[in-house]
Amino acid sequence: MAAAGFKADLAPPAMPPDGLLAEYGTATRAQLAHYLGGEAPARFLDPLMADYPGRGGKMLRPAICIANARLFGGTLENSARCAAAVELLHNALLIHDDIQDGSDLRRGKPTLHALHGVPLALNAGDALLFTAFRPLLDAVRPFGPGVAQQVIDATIVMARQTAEGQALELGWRDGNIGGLNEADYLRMALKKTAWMGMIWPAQLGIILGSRGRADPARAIRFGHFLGIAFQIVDDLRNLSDDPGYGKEQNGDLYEGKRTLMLIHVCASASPKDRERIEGLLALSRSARGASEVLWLARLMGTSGSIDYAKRVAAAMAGAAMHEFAQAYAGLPDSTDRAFLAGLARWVFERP
Amino acid sequence: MTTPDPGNSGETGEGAAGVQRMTRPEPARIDPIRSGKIAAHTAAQRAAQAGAAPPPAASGIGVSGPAPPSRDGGEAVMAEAVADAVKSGYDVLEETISQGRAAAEKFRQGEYNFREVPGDIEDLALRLLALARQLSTTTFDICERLLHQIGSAGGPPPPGQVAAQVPPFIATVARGATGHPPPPAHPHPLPEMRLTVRFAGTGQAVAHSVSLTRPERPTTPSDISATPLGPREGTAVALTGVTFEADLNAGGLVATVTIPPGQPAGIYAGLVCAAGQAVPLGMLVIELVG
Repeated sequence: MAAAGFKADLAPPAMPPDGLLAEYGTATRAQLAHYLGGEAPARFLDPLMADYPGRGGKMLRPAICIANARLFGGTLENSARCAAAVELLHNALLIHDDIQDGSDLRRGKPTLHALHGVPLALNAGDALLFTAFRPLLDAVRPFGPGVAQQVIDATIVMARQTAEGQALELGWRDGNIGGLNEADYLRMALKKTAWMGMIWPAQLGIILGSRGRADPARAIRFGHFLGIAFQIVDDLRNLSDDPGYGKEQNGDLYEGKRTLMLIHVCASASPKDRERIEGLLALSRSARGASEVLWLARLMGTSGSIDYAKRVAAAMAGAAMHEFAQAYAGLPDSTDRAFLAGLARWVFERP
Repeated sequence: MTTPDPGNSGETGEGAAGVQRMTRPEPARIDPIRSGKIAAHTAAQRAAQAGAAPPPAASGIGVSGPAPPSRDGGEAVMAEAVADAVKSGYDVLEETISQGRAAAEKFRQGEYNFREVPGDIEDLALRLLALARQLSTTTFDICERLLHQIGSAGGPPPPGQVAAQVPPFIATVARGATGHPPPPAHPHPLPEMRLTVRFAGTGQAVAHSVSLTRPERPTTPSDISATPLGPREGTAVALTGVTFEADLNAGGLVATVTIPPGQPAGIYAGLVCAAGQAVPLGMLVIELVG
């Protein structure tokens, strides 16, 4: 089995994904400005709501939505509204995530709750959550109640899956839960990352673009494996010298996040090392010392945990490309199709 | 499973006298065991065999996950572990999808507050009419009218307006002071209905038609037909296998186009007609892409 490789018969994307990513990001930001703008901004609310969306971001989720919509016959203008809804919802959850994780930085700046306190940040997150429905409904309105029903159904499923995934991760961390295996991690990653980040945006695009005629379930398998590859790479980057824009190196270890590398290193560690890992994880976030965290990060390297996770991520990307070929078979070649096909590679090369 | 004894290979058949057969046990399994839970066991075993410590009984985060290659034979073990992870990925996905289906079914069968979920009224009505449609030739029209009414009455009328603006279920004929019906109005375009096109047979295709004009009078799907879908260019044989059924989710029609093997790629088009109606309902255009 070519576990770690990409399928040789899948050529690199005809257009670098970043090209469309920038174009679709621009279109989405224009919609964000429209829906977040107002003549009389409410003090303590509107500036906070506009903060995270204004900090940039990769715009991966909106681009997945738009590319799918265009691939299935939709327009950039209308799908950009839907993409704005995706981005608003994503930013709303980021605010909540930062509070739940006790994070200090987001995209290179202090987190919203660090700037304004937890109550106001929570309130802004809630407002963003509900604001997301404005562009979503505007996008589906021209297509009638049938399409609206499909969009709402997909959104309800996504909300449930995402909440379950977040609950798993928080519950494992806060309860210092043991006995986890890689299937547990994959289940969590599917729910927490893949469903909202890849599957749902793709489904919205398919529903909108096809005006409800194409089955949105076709996006699930591709999005699932793409999302897992994305999450593993994200976790790996956190341990590297380049943890990503505005992120703290080894921040996941400080937070006690249950990553594939952590599960692996615990399984392969000596009794003495395992006891030391458990002691570290039993501490609160603030009590975890830098030297101990660095030791654990190095142990992940020497025990093969990082190499193993890299291989699994590559294999998941390979599975994603395989599922892409199945799900999007028969659709004409286009830059949007090439963009989606190239995402499995982009996961490893993203800025 | 039985295997003939080599010493008696010249005699075959269950009833052959003197045949000695060795009986082998049934295999314990026929597929590789590769799920996350099984991996927990095998990884722990591999770790133990390789000299790594056994996992803790109840505490600690990880008691599973593949052992590192440096301790257990290198590349082959790593490849197996990675393959195991991919298999786990599929297992987890199937599990989640199954849970989602069960939850959706439970939700669908639950009690609804019809006032708060107007869309589900439509859904419920459509499901009931799906059964009735099989029994009556006029129910297609009833379904159509009901959908039209529900769609028009998507919510309560705003304050100051009366519900009379909601179109009646059955159109009434306004009469003048003389008691005679008013003169017929000028012809106007009939409302459209959605057309969903599905494909059967071989090859990939996309539809370019999304709507049709509604029939002038009550019509069942079996009374709707399409002329052979001829090629836009070339001399390919026209497609004749087109059937119609009601699309109860969208209040329109579903056309199923059967594509025979070897049908050349290209644009194919035909007219959709209703029995007893001179004017076609529209054009069905599809594109075979290979």
